[in-house]
Amino acid sequence: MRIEASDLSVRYGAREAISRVSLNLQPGAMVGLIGPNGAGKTTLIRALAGLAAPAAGEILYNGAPSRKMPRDMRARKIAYLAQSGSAEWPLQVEAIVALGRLPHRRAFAALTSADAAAVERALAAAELGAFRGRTLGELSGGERARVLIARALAVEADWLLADEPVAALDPLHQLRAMALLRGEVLRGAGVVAVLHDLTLAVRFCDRLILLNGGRVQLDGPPAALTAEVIARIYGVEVLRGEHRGEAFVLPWAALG
Amino acid sequence: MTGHGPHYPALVAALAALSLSVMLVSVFVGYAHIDVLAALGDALARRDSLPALALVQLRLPRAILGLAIGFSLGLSGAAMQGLLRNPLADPGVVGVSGGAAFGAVVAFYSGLSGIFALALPLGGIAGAALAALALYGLAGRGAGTMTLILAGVTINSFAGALTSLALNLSPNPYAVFEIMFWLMGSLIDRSLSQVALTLPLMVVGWALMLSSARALDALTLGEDTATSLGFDLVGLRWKLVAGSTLAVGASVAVAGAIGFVGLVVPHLLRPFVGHAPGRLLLVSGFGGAVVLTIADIAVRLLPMHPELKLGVVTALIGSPFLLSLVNRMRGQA
Repeated sequence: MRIEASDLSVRYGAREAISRVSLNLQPGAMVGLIGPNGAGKTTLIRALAGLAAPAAGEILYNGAPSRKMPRDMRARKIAYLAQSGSAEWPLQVEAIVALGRLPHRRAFAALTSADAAAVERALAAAELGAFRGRTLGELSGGERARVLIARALAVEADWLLADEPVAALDPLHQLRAMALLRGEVLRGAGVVAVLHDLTLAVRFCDRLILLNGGRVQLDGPPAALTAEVIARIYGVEVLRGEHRGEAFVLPWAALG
Repeated sequence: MTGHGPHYPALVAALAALSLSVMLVSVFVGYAHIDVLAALGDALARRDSLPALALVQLRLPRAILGLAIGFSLGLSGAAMQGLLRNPLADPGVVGVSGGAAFGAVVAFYSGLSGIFALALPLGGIAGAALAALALYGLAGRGAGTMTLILAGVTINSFAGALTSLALNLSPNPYAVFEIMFWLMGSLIDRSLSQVALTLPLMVVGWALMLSSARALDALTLGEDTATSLGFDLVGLRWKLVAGSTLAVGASVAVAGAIGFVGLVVPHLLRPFVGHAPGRLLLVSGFGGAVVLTIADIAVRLLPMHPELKLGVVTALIGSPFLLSLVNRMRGQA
């Protein structure tokens, strides 16, 4: 499924969080959504997922207006991972991950063997086997974040739209989570991830969309994210180098 | 959910069986000693013997209502707690029970209840319906959870104020006593026609709430995630408001205000369903049926006359449970 934003604006009251954004997203690629705080990243990813109503313009799924797609079908096609999510009730890890199968289940029906297999795959991918019987309250912040990633993986949708999926993770688990998202791309899914770590963005993404003030400032391959662009948008001096043939970006000092 | 898979059907079956057993006990317990089996024989053969009348006119409606009202309160409490994601929500949080109580008081006050017997429950149902309409008017179609709670609290206090006003203005102290006693909740002297009036409303309410189980599970992870999983939250909120209006409104209309069952029963049972709000619904309904029926048996067995009001007993039993809950939560914090 193709996701497009066409001249999209989203408002919160009088404030325009996203202004006239047009994008064309194809599956099979990893897209990093980057930009300073307040740039509109969360609003844009929510709008792409069909969770924020456009004030102007529209979201298109395979060329048709997103609101025309039935909710349950959209839920099977697009998995959404909220920023810093939590569970209101102390459900066990396995039960939380199984919530990702809800779009595939009929009312009152139990988990099918296909559902159970998808839950197992997600638990294994996020290395949560040992935690399956625990509740989120018994886990560390990073483990909790992995449970929520696994919940989104369990949907096994065409798209995974993830809002800051690695923000709470230590370096090892950041790298593992990024590899996990790349794995989704390998199986043909599309991934859009809001990222703050520019090195992870440059190394793992096929395409970067840089937002500022609700507008797209840059949309292109990671190589296009030069030190000059970062200085202009983030107001930060960075070291941009290479290690083993891959780029890294190291924020060094505030400018001005 | 997985993890608790095989236990859940067994738990539901056990609680359902327990509900039916206490209902049977309820039929056998009463102030007059009657041979229930002989009375049943008379009733089935359409012989108007005194025991048969006592069974059909008094014991049976009381037992059915105990079960149905307990089920309504337990289920609505679980549904509201799941919707508001708050363990302290009770079935009346959206204003329904206050509205129903006021409607019944109006039926009392106007003297309509003295003219025909069903005026009281009809007044209660009308009050509950008005409260739901007011909620819709105040909160608006696309209402968020917070707006819904605030509008519900407003309606509840306004209905409470109107009820007090009616008591205040009552020219007849005897009527004040009668209204106050009625408000404390009881199942004594209820008739089969009251069952026929309220039970169908409750059943529709149950169906609305029980069909929301999956959406409540999804809501565990927050509103955005639930929406992304394919659930229409605006529709869900109004479905649950309508469901609890029907079930709780009809309950209050026929039995008065019975507190604590809808608040406490979901808490007690939550650990047994792995804290999954969807599975809690049915279990909590049966749990409420058991608790309320046992309380109603207890008021008949206790050597006090006039018998204790049901709402008083459930509050007396419920408060210590709530206290232990507070204690446990304090330990966690």
